[in-house]
Amino acid sequence: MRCKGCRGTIGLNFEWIEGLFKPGWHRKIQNGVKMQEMRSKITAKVEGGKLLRMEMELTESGERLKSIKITGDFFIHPEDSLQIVEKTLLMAGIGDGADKIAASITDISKSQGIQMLGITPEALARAFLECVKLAREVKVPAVTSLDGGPQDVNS
Amino acid sequence: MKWRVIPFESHDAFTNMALDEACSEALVSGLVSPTIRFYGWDPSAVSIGYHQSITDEVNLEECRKQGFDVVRRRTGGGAVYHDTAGEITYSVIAPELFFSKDIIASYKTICGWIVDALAAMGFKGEFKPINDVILEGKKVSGNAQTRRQGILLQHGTLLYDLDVRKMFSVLKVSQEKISDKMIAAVEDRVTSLKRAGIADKNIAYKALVDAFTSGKSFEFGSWTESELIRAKELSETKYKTTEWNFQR
Repeated sequence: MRCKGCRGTIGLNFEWIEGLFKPGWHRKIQNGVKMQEMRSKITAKVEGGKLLRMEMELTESGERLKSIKITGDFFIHPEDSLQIVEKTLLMAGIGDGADKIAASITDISKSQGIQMLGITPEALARAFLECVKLAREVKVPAVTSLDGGPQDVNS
Repeated sequence: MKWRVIPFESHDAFTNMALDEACSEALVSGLVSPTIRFYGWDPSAVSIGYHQSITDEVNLEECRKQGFDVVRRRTGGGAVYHDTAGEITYSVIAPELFFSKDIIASYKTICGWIVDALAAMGFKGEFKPINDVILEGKKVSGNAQTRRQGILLQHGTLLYDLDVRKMFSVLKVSQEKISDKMIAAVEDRVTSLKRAGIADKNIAYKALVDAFTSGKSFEFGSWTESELIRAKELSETKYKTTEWNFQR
């Protein structure tokens, strides 16, 4: 079943109550149903480098990036330029290829004098695309049962 | 220019980080000389890299139980467990111009002093880019650097003793992973001077002081009153705060 308002999805077992929902239900019935969230977080070890964690949230449509956070044990100089990298990724088209995304990070790094040690624009681009893919994956929502424990709606 | 060398002293984690910053500020203002300091952590502490998430990296509950400080550094790199008795930490705070513009090359210069200290103790250490010094193929020193307002700050640790189980108890490693096998794996990659046969931490400290000051004009000194006041302020208003430590 899909929410007509935000294209969110809920398990097929709920089709019997489809008629009860109007566009926007996805946001409204938060108690009891764990909604599909366009969120993801990945951890990757950069080859020959450091650990990179990336966390993001997409808009409900899954078409644009809402927020992104990069953390890890890498070095970036000046340190606060990590925010510039995050902003660059925030502006990137999520349909762009790894090469284009890496190139935009390389360009901004050159123009702003940013130096990275232990991560690379290419590794950031790969992590970005992986994170987008994960965030877009339709997850089976869990339903909180009346006795309190979560259960799979497909079980 | 004469370097100021501040002999070994122990502080809490917040003061240690605040002293580095207060000294950097004083150096920018021309109030103090380039400084090399040696220090320890009392109580034991965990420091995390500037870009890390404290909740991802640190078992905060365990740190609280054991009475350990947790602080975010101004430098990048990874989370480090600083045992009160287990390490000697140093900071080099100097004009950026003293060192190569190339960051790895400047790591190599300062880490070279650690390699020299190891050599004085009869060991063949080696700089391993990006930021490690290894001894017999195992890491014995981790280092991190920042450059702000024309000042280079590099701090790092020389491991004297290592308790891997204690380290894992405060760093966020899943309990399943804290197996004997994993501990053995870490002990295979990391070593300490004690394991290498140095029975007295003072021997290591003396070797470090000699190596870090070799060929330099220097004098032993202490913090200025204004550095101490500023460090106290930075400790309270920055390094102890949730805003700073939980910023990522």
